[in-house]
Amino acid sequence: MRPRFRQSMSWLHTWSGFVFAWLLFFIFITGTAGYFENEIDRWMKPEIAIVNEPIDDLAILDIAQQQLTDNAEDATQWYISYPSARNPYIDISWLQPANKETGARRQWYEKNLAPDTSELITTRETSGGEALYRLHYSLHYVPIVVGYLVTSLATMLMLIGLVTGVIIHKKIFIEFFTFRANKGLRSWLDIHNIFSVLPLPFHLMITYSGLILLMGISFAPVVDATYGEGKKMHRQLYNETQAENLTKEVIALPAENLSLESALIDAKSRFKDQAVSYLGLIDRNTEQPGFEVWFGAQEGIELATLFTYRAVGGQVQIEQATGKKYSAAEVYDVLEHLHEGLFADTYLRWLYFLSGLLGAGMIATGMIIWVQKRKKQQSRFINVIDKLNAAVVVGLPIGIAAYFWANRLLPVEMASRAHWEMNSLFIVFALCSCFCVTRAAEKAWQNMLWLAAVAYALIPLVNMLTTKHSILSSLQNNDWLMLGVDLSMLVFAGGFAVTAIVLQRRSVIGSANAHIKQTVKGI
Amino acid sequence: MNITKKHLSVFHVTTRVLIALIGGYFVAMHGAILIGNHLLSDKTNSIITGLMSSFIIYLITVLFVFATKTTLRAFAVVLVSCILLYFLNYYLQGPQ
Repeated sequence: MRPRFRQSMSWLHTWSGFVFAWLLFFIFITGTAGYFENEIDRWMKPEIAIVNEPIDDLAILDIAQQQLTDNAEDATQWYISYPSARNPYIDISWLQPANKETGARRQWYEKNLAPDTSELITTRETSGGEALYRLHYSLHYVPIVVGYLVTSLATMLMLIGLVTGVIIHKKIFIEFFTFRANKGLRSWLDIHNIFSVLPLPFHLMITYSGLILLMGISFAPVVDATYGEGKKMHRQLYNETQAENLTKEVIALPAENLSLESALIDAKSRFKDQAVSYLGLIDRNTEQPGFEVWFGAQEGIELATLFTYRAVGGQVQIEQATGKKYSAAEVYDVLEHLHEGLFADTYLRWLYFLSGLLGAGMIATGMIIWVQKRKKQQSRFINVIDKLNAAVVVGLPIGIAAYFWANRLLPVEMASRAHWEMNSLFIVFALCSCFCVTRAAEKAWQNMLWLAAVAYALIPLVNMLTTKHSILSSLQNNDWLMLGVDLSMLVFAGGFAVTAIVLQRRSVIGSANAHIKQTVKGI
Repeated sequence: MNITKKHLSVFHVTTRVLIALIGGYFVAMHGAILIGNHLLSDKTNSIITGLMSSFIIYLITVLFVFATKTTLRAFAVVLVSCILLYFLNYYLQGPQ
C-alpha cells in the first residue's frame, strides 16, 4: 500500500502542479505585488502631495469638508483619509449614487488634497498598484466571474499540490536544511524544497484563505440549496454573515450639535493617544446619518477601530462593533485578514512579500524541474514548455516593469490611459513569449534575465526624467514611499543580473565539460 | 485495432481525473449543503461552516480517488457518497 500510495501522490503532485503552473505563478507574483499596493499607488501618482509634518486633525477636517461640500453634494457617503505611515496624504472620497438621467452607475470617487493650498490635486489617470493586485483573482480581459472561477480552480489544484507535496516529502526536517550545489536536478529539487517547506505555513494559509475568499462564488450552488437562489438572496446572506455585535453608548452631546467636528473632538477625548485614520459620513441622504471616526487599531489583526455616532431619538449614541455576530464569520474574518495582511507593519509586510516571492519561486522551480526531468526525451513539446517557462517566469516581471514604464511614458491627457497602462503589461508579456519561442531555450533564459535587469534598472531613471522625483530628491523630501519603490526596482534589477551571470557561467562550464568529454571519447 | 496497455492506462487516468474533478466537486457540494442545512440550529453559522469545509472535503476526495487501488472503486465510492449525502440532506429536512 505504501509505495503505491507514495507513487500515486507523487503523480498527483506533478500533474496538479503542471496544469495551472503558469497561471499560479501569475497569481503569486501579482498578489505579492499587492502587499505594497499603497506604495506602488504613490509611485504611480507622482503628483500626490506628501504630508510630512503633522497637521492638526480639525484643520484637515476643515479643508476636506469644504472640498466635499463643493464637489460631492449628492453623495451618499463621504470619507476623509488622514495621513498615515503607508498613506502620507490627505484624501477625500465619496460615493456618488447612480444617476438615472445620465445612466451613470453608482461609483466611488477619490481625490488627493494638497495640504498647503487646500486644493484638489489632479493626478494622472492610472489604475495603480490596486489594479496590479486585483489581477490575481479577477484576471484581465475576461468577465469577472470567469476570473474568479478560474483562479479558484487553480487555487484548488495549488492546495492539492501543496498537500501531496508534504505527503511525498520524505525527510521534511532534514531536507529543510539541505542544499547540494552544482548537482543539476538534485540541486533544483533542493531549492524547490526550501522554497516550499520554509514558508509552508504561509503557503497553506494563503491557499486555503484564498479559496474561502471566493467560496460564495465557487460554491454558489451550496448557497442556492441552503439559503436561496438568485442575486438578491445571495446578497442577503452575505449581509447577514457580516452582521456585527454592536455596543451602543449614549453620550452627553446634544443631538443638534452632532457633526463631524463634534464627533471627532469627542472621539479624540476618549482615545487620547491614538491617531485618526478616517472620518466618514454615511447614510447622508437618510434621517439618521452616521458620523464615523476610525482609529488605526493597536493590536491583533484588525485594521482599524471604528466608532459610529448617530442621533437616535434626540440623543447621540456611539456604536462600536465588538466582533462579528456569527462565530463562523469570525473564523472567516481571521483567515481573510491573514490573507490580506492589511494589519501588517513594515517588517511583517516585507516578510509577507518575501514569502509570496518564495511561493512564486516554488512554482517556477517546479516548472523547471518538470522540464529538466524530461529533457532526455528531446521532444519539441518539452522544448516549447522550456522556452515558455522563461517567457512566464521572467516575462511577467518584465511586463510589470512595462506597466511602470507606461505609467511614466504615456501622455497624461491620453484617453483610457489606465487601460493602456494595463494593456502595456500584457502586450510586453506577449512579446516576450513570442521572443522566447524563437530562441534556443538556454539563450531564451539568458536574454530574458538581462532584459529584465535592464528594464528594472532604468525605472528610477525614467522616473527622474519624466517627473520631479529622483532618488536624491525623494531622500531630501522624506518621500519614503517613492524612494522605497525606486530602490526596490534597483534591487530587483540586481537580482536578475546576478541570475543572468550565474546562468552564463554555468553554461560556459557545461559546454566546456561537454567538449572535454567529446575529445576524450574521440581519443 | 487492439486495445493496448497504453490505451487502458490513458482510460484509467482520464477517468480518475474526471471522477476527482467533477465527482469531487459534487461530493464537496453535497457535503457542504448537508452541513449548511443541518449542522447547528443556527443556519447562518452552519452555511459559513459548510462553505469553508467544502474545500477540505474536495481535497480529501481527490486524494482518495488517486490513492485507491482501482478506478472502479474510486467511481463507486464517489458515486455512493454523493447519493448518500444528497438523500441524507433530503431525509433530515423532513417533509416539505
